[in-house]
Amino acid sequence: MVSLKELLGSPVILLALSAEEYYQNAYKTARELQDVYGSLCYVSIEKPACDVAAELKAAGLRANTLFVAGPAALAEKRRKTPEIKCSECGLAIVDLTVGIFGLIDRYHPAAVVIEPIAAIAKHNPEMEAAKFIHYLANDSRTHKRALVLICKKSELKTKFVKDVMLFVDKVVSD
Amino acid sequence: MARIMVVDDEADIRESIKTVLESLGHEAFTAKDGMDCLEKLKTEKVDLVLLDFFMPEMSGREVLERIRADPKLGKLKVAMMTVARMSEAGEAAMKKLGIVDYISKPIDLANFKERLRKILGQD
Repeated sequence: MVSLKELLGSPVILLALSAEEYYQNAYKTARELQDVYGSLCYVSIEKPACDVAAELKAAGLRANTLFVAGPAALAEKRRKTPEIKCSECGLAIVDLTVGIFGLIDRYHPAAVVIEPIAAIAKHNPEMEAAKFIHYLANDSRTHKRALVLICKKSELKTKFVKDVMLFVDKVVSD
Repeated sequence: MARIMVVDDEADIRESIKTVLESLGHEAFTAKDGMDCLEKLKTEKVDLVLLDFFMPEMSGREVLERIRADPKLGKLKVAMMTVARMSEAGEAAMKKLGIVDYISKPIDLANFKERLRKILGQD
């Protein structure tokens, strides 16, 4: 597991996690970041926002300073954790932008986690996905907001993640 | 006078840069994307490639990696033309791949001329 010290001090970080216990480690990282930064926006690309909100709460994150963006769940599964502010959004870049910045502009989280970033390029042209990450990285630096982009270790050699590496300040691997 | 290839997926941009290069007395070629660039480099002898970063199918980073992997093109000068702001770590990674300079888009003509002179060793 990555030590928290490695995630602090650089505004934009790419964190590569092993496939084993991927979510457990991603949530643990999110909890530690919330402890340090106070408030956190967690963007899930693969799991529905409300499922992730419930899982993050179960992992020990505080609901009152946690904001979650991600795809919508099936109707019967919705709103397990109404106390957590969720933004259900599509996975097209324009929808992600609206979903993520809707939370950022309204609640001003001090840190943003997005995982797994390679999935953004599965749902969008790679060039658009890379531009989106580039924009997020610059916006995070401008607003002094921490940005932790999570990928799976196996994705480190993909074209998309190699491009993303050029925009981050540090690459950390577990 | 140098032979310079402009690689950009946006036709207006590559044509306007080509026009600027020609007005400076250079011989300019264009390529519409990374694959087109790599194909043309097989037959065209050029002194410098001005390479856009954000392109469909193949990013500027990937084109650069492929150029460096080709023994015939290993020493070719490549400058990245981009709106992208790389991190320090990113710039270091690109320098390792032999990027000679970064040129910000949109192009500032005075700055562009100056950098081009330096890149081409015309100081």
